[in-house]
Formats: sequence, C-alpha cells, structure tokens
Amino acid sequence: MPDQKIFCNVPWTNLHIYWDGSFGGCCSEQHPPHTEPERYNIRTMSVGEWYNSVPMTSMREQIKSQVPLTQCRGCYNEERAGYESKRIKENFKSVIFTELAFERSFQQSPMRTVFESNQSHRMPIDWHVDLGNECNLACKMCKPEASSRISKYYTKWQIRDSSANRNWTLDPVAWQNFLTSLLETPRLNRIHFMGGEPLLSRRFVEALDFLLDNNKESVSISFVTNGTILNQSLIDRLKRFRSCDIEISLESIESNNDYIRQGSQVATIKNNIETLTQQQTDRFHVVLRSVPQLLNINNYDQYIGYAWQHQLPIQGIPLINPEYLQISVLPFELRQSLVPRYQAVKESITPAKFNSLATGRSTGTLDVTLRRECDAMINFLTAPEPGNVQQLRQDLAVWLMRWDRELGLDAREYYPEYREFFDDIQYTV
Amino acid sequence: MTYNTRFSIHLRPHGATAPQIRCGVNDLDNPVQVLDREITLEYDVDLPVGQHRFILEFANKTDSTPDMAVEIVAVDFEGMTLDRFRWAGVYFPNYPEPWASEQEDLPNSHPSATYLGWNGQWELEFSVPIFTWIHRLEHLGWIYD
Repeated sequence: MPDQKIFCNVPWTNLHIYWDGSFGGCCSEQHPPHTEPERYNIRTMSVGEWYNSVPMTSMREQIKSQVPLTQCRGCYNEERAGYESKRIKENFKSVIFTELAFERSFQQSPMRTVFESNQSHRMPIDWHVDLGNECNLACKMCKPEASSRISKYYTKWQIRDSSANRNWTLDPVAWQNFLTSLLETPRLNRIHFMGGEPLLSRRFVEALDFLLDNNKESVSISFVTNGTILNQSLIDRLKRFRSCDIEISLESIESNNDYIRQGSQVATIKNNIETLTQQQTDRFHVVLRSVPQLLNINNYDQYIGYAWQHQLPIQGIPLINPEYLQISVLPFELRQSLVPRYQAVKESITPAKFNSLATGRSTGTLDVTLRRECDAMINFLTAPEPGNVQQLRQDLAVWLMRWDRELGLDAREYYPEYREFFDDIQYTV
Repeated sequence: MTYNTRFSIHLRPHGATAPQIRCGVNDLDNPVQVLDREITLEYDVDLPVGQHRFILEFANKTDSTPDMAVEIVAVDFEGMTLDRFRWAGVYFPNYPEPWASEQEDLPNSHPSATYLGWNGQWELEFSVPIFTWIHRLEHLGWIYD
C-alpha cells in the first residue's frame, strides 16, 4: 500500500511542458524529475515517448514508496499549513480521499490497476503547458523563465538568466510535435496554459484554433492571466469548449498589488474581473489566483472578503521561493497583530447549514474553501520564524531595494504597518 | 468483484410507545428491533459492484399511537457523516385509511424525507464502489478511470 502522505496520481494523469519545452512531471513540482532539459524536450521527443521515459517510470515508482519526493515539497508544505494541495485535489479525481479514507478509497479507486504499473499505456489526460515567458509584468516573486520583462532587468543587472531566447513555442519543430501529440491523445480532458502571459502569445490562439478545427471542443481549457488584457473575441472562442476557467492573478485588492505585480494597475484588473464575472455560466468560470506571501499578508484578509462578496473561488499557492518573501520572515509580533483580521473575515463567511465535502474551486462550497484559506493564513502567521531569518531579512532588503530603486517605488508608502520592520532591515530607497 | 463497504444509520424514536423496525441491505433480513432509545445500526459488508439498497421498515404505528415516528438522524459511510447521505433516501409511506382515500394526489414517495411519521419503508440506494458513489453524490468533479 502506498503512503497516505506521499502518493499522488499525477504521474499517471498529468503532463508539464516548461517554458523551454522541457518536460516535467507536475506543474507544482519544485524541480523536474530529470536534469537533462535538452534531452527530455518536446523538441526531441513526443509526449508518448516522454510518458514512458526513465524519469517518469522512476517517478511513479518513487511516489508509491514511503520516501517523500524532493520535487513534491510544495504540496507537503501546503498540507502542513492546512491547504488543500494539488496532490489532494488530483487524488480526488481518481476517487482517492487522501485525508479522509486513504487506504480504503485507494483500494476502490477506478485507477487502482493503472497505478500498479510504472509504465503508462495511456497518454496523459491533463496537460499543463507553459507558453514561453512573454509577459508585460515583472512580479517581485517571479523569475525570468516566466517573464520577459524580468529577463530584461536581469540582463541589465547582470544576473544570470537562463531564459533568454529559449521560448519553445517559437521553434516550428517543437510546436508541430506538440500539435501532433495533442491529436495522439484521444482522451485528453484538460489543458492548462500558463506563460508568461498567455494572452500575449500568438501560439495560445493558434492552439485553441487547432483544437477547435480538430473537433476537440470536449477538452476543458484553463489558463492563468495577469488580468491586464481583456480580449472579448478570445473569450467568445473559449466559450466553445466544454468548460473554461480563467484564472486571474491578483495578490491584493489594494495598491500593494501593483507594488508586487509591477506594471499592473489594480483598478483595471478589478474592472476586468467584473466584466468577466458577468459572463460566468456553468461552463465558463472566473477564478482568483494568488500567492500568499509577506507582501500581501498585510491585507489578504480583504482579498478573501472580496472573493466571498463576488462568489469567486481562490486558487492560492503559498509562496515557497524566493524564501525571503515567505510570510514567516516577518517578525512574529507583527504577524500576530494580523491574526484578528483573519479571524474576523472567517467569521463573516457564513458556513453552509449542512455538512459536505469540498475540493477544488466549486463555488457551491466556497464557504468551506474560503474559511480554510483563513485558517491557513492564521497558520502561516503563527508559525515559528525560520532558523536563518536574519539572513532572509537581509536578502529581502536587497531584493526590494533593487526593484524599488529601478522602478521608483517606496515600500514604506505601500506598507505603513511594516515601516518599523523595514527600518530594522535597513531598507532605504 | 466485491468491495468491503462500511456504513451506519443513526435512528431516533419519537412518541410514547417505542416504534418497531426491520431493516437490511437489499432485503429486510434483520429481525424486528424495538426502538426504545436512539441507536446506531452498523454495517460492514462485502458487496458486489453495482446498485444496492438499505431498507428500513416501520410498521407498528396505529391509531392509538399517533405520536409514534422514526427519525433518520444521521448516515455515515466510510467514516464520513454527510447530510446528502440521509437526503439520498426515499420514504415510501403506507398511508392510513380511511384518511388516505380522502386526500387528493398523495405522492407515493417522499425523496429526502428523514422523519417517518407514517408506517412505511425508507430506502437508501447506493452503488459500490462506495467512494465513487460518494464522489458523485457530493459533486466532487471529474473522475479519471
């Protein structure tokens, strides 16, 4: 019997194509299950070949063992904080109730015999595709592989940047391999696109048209966008698919969103969210996407309240890297002072009058998931400080000052409640 | 192919006189029980893949025991007590005469009823594997097989 704390169905169902075309095992992994991005790449092999490659068969074997996988650290961390991790959500799709009845539901899972083999006789049915790094924002927690704007600053600052000119979607051979693999996957259930910013990628529209031209309307589409662009003709195209989730990245409903997501304007994004929300149907959904971190925990309670008011699910992925932006880097007393805000917003979310299970982004159980979000934030705010907190605070000051001097920002104006902390870490601009 | 399935039904009697019930899985195979206090019926059964029914029969109510009733308080499957489990049940009353004949359009069944104020049967249909049934009942989304 696999381990309740480790097992995940993703190696038998999911595919990840990184920004450079290299393959991964999962979109939430901290590193791919190989160290050869040129070899295991959509440029050089098909999705089917990747799915039975040594790294994938090895990953399947490991995930059935009793030893935690280093690349799965993100999910383990989220579970410790009380989050419903991707692992738990994905296991539900194989009818595995990871937290409530792991062993008995695993034994009765419709995929149990599939899990017995480390080879896969099927193609992945849930694809996560990074469409290169073209982006119009430079978010403070992001990296050049996911933002061409950050890449430009890295070049200017002479920081090593491995992303330059390696957008796989611009390679005609890689793109053709991708399209061919799509057609070779008859049971394809979902494609999730990320960037960069997918709405800036011409390949995003091409991929959608290719699916529609090949009678793949039965595929469910989701993508993460920074919400700065509203393209109604694209939205109309997306509505032709079985379902579509538009996941809009937003860190705060206040001005510190623009401090974090540099280049954005929160008012515009909120307007775009409301325009999209008005078009929601049972097949077309809007989801808020957040990265709970040091730079938004000061008013993330308002964000949860906004989600409740607009009946929008939050797909929160708590920040792991860079470590100096983790919530636990804030002084313990300062974090403690924020706890009552989360208790208050939790109390304002009326729980449903009946017991039910909640997973993923169903709006029918939004009360459960948003109250869980509050509890997770309280857990982050009451966690002990990391052992290397002094070093992390120094790194934080260096990183904020680098960006703020470049873009003419002053963190103290956005975070009056952090002013003393910023003085202590010698933040100046 | 069979799967072990665990569930329990918590019952509460109402009225001055104790109701009597019979119950079972797919058949009324358990002996008559006097419900003189709240009880929890527990099942740990190997069931073949497919549809099954838990059946509860309540038959000793008379004109002289007008306040007698049986309430389905909670249903638990595999350690989970969820309201949709008990709402998945259907109540088929045996309406008393001559009252029933004097009514118009009495329904044959009452879906989601959990208070059995007339004699009759309460039936809870479920399917095995039970976790797939729970997944669907709770609208938990896509199922990969």
